[in-house]
Amino acid sequence: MKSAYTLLEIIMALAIIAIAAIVIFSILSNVLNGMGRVYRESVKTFEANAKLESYLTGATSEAVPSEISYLRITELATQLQVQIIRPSGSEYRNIPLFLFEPTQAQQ
Amino acid sequence: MKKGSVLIVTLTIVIFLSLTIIMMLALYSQLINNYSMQQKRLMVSNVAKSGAYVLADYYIKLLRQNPNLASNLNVDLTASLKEFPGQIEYKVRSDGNYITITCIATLSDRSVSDSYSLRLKKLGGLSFGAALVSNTTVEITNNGIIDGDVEVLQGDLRLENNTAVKGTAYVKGNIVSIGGGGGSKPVIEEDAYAGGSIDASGVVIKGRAYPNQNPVPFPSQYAYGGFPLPSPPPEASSAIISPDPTSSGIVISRSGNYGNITIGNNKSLTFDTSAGDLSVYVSNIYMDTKAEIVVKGGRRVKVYFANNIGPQDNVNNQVTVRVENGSQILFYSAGNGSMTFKNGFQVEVQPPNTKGAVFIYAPNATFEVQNNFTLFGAIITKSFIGLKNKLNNLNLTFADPGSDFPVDFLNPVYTYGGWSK
Repeated sequence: MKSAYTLLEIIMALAIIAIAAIVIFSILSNVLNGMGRVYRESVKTFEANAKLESYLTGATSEAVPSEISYLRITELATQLQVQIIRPSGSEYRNIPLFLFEPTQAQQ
Repeated sequence: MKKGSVLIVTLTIVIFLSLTIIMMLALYSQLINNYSMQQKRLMVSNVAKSGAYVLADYYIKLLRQNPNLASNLNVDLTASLKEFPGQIEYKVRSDGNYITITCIATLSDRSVSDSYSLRLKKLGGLSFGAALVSNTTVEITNNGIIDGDVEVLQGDLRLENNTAVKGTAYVKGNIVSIGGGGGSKPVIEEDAYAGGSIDASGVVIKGRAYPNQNPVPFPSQYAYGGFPLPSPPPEASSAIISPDPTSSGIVISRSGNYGNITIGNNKSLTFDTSAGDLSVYVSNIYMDTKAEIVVKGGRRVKVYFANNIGPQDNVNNQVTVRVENGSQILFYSAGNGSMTFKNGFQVEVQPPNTKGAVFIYAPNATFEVQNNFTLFGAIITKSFIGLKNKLNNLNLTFADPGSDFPVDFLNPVYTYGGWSK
């Protein structure tokens, strides 16, 4: 039986599909990788926040990085010294979450 | 099939795959947005919560120095913190007894905003933060129940089986189960804070357990900044007078210095408040085997004892304190004496479920009891111990007199009335 397609047509079609598949699946792979990374970061964010919460409630005595800052209250013309508490551990370093609590000193 | 149709089929396949990838990219973009928004929300929520807490702490300290400021505390404030890219606003509202502090945090681009409110509660007059505050180890045995919070400022809280603290326990040392008693494990109905360890396998803690706390967040001590020692009342410097004798014992119906008082066997000491509140100064109160203290008239009695309240001639004394028609009595002292009841201490509220209560505020004194112990009220003492190392039938139910019971040795203070969202 004689084919309805020429050899050239079949080669062109296969080439188009192959190129499209390579491009599309590489994009898909990147998207799926990205989704996985976002999911992991999201989980870490909640973990980090849970650690901050447990620090605030006193449920953990785990040392957390802290720094001194000031909460400026305009109408009272005062600034309260506070301690900024960030999530501990290197895995939470890039997560921009923090709490703050009063220190003994006030200005 | 026509010539060239293979190209159309191919393009259709490519377009379908492209649409799929566009959809995935849109999904990914949405995911990224959600993640970013989630972080912003958490950050803003944390700032709102922290901000409320910091301002509350500021006001607690400020009002401790000047409680009168609270009456006119209705202000809106704005604040800033360099670590937070947005605005912080406060709404502070007071009705005299409660101060509500609301902190609203908003990002600069207004994309996320959150608020957090907490309430400060006024502790005015004679206010106890807990049913029992002791400066030494407390041991609860023999089906003992404390219906309220317990603060052990030094030492441990030791719990036998079948005992319960129906509140929160704050303990400087350890919270331990000492077994014995049979039946069920001891229970702490709410949270447990300890400077040392918490025997989580031996004690059932229905709230959360917070071991190794430093410092332990003792609410009463925090509220008052310690326990101020009361001064003797003005009656201490007046001439000693005698109670009026009756067939059933003795009656005190006016304020004054009564020196040493003795309650005979099966006799009563009655405080009659029909004419108003009473302020009484005594050096000691001695009691025989069975004694009764009656407070009637529906008012308040303050009894300052310089030395001891305890047995006459070392008998096995027991006392029943009957508070009638909502009468309340406070035994208080700055001395380092003792309150000793070798055969029981019981409070009867008549009629039941009225405001009648007995309060003991003696931060330097010891409270020792053996056998039945029932109290409706609260205790702050240096130590609270069972003679022969046993407290029997302990049943302590917390009542807070608050501003109904004015005393001059405790200024009104504000303390946390709980977080509220």
